[in-house]
Amino acid sequence: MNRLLPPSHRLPGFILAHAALLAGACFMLLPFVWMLLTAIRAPDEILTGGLNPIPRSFHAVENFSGALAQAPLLNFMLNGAIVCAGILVVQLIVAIPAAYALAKLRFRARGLLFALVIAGLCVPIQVPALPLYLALAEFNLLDSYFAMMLPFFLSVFAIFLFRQTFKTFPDEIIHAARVDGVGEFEILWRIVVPSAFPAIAAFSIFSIVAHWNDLYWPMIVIQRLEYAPPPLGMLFFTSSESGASYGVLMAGATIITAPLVIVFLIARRRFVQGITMTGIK
Amino acid sequence: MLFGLTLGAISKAFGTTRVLDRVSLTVEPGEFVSLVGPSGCGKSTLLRIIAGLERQDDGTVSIGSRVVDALSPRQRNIAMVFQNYALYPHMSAFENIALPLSVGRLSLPERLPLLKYLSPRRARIMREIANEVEAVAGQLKIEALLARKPGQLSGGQRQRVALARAMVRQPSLFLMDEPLSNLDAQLRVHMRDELTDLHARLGATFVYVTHDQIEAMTMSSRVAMLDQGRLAQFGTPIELYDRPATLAVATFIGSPAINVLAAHSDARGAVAIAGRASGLHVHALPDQALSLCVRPEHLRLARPGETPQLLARLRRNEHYGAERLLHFDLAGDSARSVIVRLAHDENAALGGASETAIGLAFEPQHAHLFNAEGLRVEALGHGTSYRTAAQ
Repeated sequence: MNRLLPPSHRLPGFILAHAALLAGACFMLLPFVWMLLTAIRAPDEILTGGLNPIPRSFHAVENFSGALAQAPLLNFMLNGAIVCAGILVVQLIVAIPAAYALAKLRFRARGLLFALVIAGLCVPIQVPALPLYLALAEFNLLDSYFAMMLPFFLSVFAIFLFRQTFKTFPDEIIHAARVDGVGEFEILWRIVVPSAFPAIAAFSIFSIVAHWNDLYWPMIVIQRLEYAPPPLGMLFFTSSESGASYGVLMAGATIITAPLVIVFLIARRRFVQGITMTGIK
Repeated sequence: MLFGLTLGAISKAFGTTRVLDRVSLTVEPGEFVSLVGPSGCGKSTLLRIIAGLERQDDGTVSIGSRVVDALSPRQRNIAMVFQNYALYPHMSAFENIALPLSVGRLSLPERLPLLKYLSPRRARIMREIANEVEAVAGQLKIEALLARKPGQLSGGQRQRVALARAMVRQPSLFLMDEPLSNLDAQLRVHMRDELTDLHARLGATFVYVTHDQIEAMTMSSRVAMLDQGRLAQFGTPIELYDRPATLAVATFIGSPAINVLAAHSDARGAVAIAGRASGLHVHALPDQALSLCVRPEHLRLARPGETPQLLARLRRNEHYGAERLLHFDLAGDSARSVIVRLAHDENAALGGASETAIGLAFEPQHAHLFNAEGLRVEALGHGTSYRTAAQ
């Protein structure tokens, strides 16, 4: 405990900094707290209860069972899981060999290819959205899991991140493996990848969080409720079924947010590692 | 099966920098050859070219009588030990040592997770591999460490695991890239011993890269010294010590380093140091700037009545027990200092006063002369041919 306390002459600054951080944390957490509180309130209390944090009557069971009954929440979450898993698996299969080649193999135009990867980092999804949509429509692929995954299969961010990680892997070990007769693909998957596990875990968390929460792209390619991932599902659910029953809506939002919060709590250390490793939030 | 190694005019450039320039040498089967030289001389590149990890721009590598230029490292049947051990970090010592065998004997599906359990012959092969790994581990006394990961091993233990991984395949040729340079001084001396024993026991051909001339001198049957990408000299350690072919070899081999003196030959070829006669003659090279080198143990205090070849002031007197090193500054040239090595019981009449210049002398046949390009020049001293004196 003593280790954590700063020298006394720096105490005011220490308190000030932590007060600021605490205020920031409260500000960020407030919507979530409000969501939770709304999810356990009675409907009449939600609009009239003002800022009173403690509900007068607990309505949690009704709200949560209502959310589960009225909207296919589990179906939305299953869709989200399928889409996130599909995207992540293909991203890793594509990005890891590409990053290895850029980091460790010598070939012509390597510099140019890497420059293209960097350039790719600067292109937001909104730019190729229209051509992608037209192509998917042309091949009758709209309203499918594939349509939701396609734009994200190739992650230049993953290539960039893994290339930086692989670059730090000692050449000597790769040379030793070549002398031992290990093929290039086996060197990558059996020797290099296990050492890059922290980076792969960090990227996986980023990828899952981003695509679980993604609303923009599913909204473009998905019309049918049965393919909707969680955020889009909630949107359909708000506009069609629930009307003004905010308690039920917030209960649904809580259920949908829960898996990510749980993943975050389990993998908190990797998550922080990932942010410090990449310098990107 | 014992193989030698032949390098035929190997050249290599990285961009515009020439790293190796027509290096040719022949290693006999069963020999222990060291490649030495200051860092950046190209020795590690040469080793990687022999291993097949790097391609030469020109020249051929042959192992035994077979040209291996087109073969992969694996096909060359060599083993390599690296400076930082290069163990696979997430595999146990056992898995590290077993990997070269399992890659060679199991098919790809047999090495994949899950799929591998489908193969009926896998269990038998793995048992054979385990036996061989344990046999090699026994030779290097690391049986107790096989379950550990590299991170849980000390430097010396990692080096043994790396050696075991090299030995397990029974290669025809061992390549070692400064394998001892990451060990502490005491362990290095010990491992030097062990490697020499290992070489004798295996009878295999060793090519050993080091920047440590003591390792090269003590372990190898022959030493090849590289200097700026060229083979400066290739011979037994004593040949390099007693008859260095270039100034670079002379200064690199030997500790403390050889004394290098600026000398000049007059019109008749008599060599003088700072105007004092050295007793050496180079008839073919009149009026030239030369470097004259004398090993510290060949330099001594001039006897009474003798004309000294050097005048110097004593700066420091180091006692090592078995020997003493006397550091002198040359009179009139304080930038240049020389070292005299005396045996413990040799009495030096230093006179105690460091202000007075002391006369130093050497036998002319112990001196080495090099021309302005750093190449050896044969000299005549006291009418005796240098060549006969040295051999």
